[in-house]
Amino acid sequence: MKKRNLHTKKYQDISSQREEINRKRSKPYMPHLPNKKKIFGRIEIVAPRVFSLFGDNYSFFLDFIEDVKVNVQENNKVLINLSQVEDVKVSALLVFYANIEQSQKQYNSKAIIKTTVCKTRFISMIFEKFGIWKLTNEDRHRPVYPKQPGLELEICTASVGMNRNNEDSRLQLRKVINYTKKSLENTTLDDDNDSAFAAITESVSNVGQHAYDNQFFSEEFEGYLKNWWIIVHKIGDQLFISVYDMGAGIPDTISNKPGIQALISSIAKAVNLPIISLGDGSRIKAAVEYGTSRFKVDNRGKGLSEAKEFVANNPEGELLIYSGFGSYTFCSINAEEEVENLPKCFAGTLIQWNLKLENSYE
Amino acid sequence: MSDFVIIDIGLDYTDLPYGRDERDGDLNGKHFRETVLLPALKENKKVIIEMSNALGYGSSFLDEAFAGLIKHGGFTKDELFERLEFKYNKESVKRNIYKYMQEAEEGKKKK
Repeated sequence: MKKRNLHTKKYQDISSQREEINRKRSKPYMPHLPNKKKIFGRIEIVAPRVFSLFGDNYSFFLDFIEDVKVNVQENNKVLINLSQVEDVKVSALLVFYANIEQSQKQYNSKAIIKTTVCKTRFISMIFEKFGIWKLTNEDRHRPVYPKQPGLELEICTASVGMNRNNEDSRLQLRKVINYTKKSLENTTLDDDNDSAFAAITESVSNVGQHAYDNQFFSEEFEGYLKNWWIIVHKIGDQLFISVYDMGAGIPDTISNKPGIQALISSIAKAVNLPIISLGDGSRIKAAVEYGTSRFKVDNRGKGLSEAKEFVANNPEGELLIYSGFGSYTFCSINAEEEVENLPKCFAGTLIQWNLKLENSYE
Repeated sequence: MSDFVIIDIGLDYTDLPYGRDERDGDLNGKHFRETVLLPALKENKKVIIEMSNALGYGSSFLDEAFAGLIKHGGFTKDELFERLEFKYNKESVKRNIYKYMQEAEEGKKKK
């Protein structure tokens, strides 16, 4: 037996203190989860090479988002390793931004998620341009790139549940509308500015009216977490607009609309399927058609049909909606609609408009 | 009762008229109808709605504000067509307002 001295007693005391701290932390024992690498006390999560919700990238990206959320929920601070990111699509960036912000609000900490530097200057510029570094409070330590005034807009966000004044929401929407109007100036869509206004504001209104309705949640959604996020990006002759919320999702919220069951029945009949087999994609289609259908009882529910109309007015436009286990796509070039099942549940709703802008003086 | 009054939505109410009711914030179609339109119709024979100074119009706002006069305000479509005048360069938006009022009248008759 080794004789104890002052030196070993000191080590013993430190070890006892560490054991006491760990005991108080009461982290659940989860043997099935591999040990994640920690850097400066943060769990490192490697971001996928491509930030995209399309094709094969969909599942990889959502797995990554889920990984971040799970680790934050386990009381871990997270470091997102962006060094492998080579390509970023606006809708995926919007979802990424929204999940970081929601985590910050839920755990009341701007420091809960941090990021590493990016692989390339181009990718770093994208993250800076849309406000990611500002969100994570890393803007002071990241390179700043020349801005093009009026041509860039950070991701806009507001809460629908905060207060009745709603001035912040209006301020954010005003930025989006002004940017969109400016992008549409001198294009063939210029005369249709009201359809852009209607499409965007009706989508935001749907968030306030339906998405965070407490009847769809087992626990009440706190007001400050009832958010919407919008990204608008004009690049060359393409305009991308995406609206995202983390609410109940269209397949659930449409169940409340009077007359919707009759519409869903007619869609099921048209595709020769029993109603029970209709996927979430078809339910999204029903929600889009509801506003102009003969089944609606009152004049409500036009929001998604206006979202489609905005694209229909553009010769090469596309509308994409992701919600629940379904997606809906409408292409104006051939007026074709497509519904698909998603391999993983998409929490909330994402509406994206892709528009080709043609100069009106061509 | 005065002859007419002009209401400039963009300057007198909000430059961002969207949303149906209080779930959309404090400035919405229902609030506009109750606090601006109804008093104006009560005190004036004709109400001229100047729409050019707003950034655009959401259908929920227009439906709740104007068709709501029929659904909740006790007006008829014919009376409103006579007493309301809309000044806006987007004919499609004006047509939609008349369509919403028409549909509200038909909906009311069905009940």
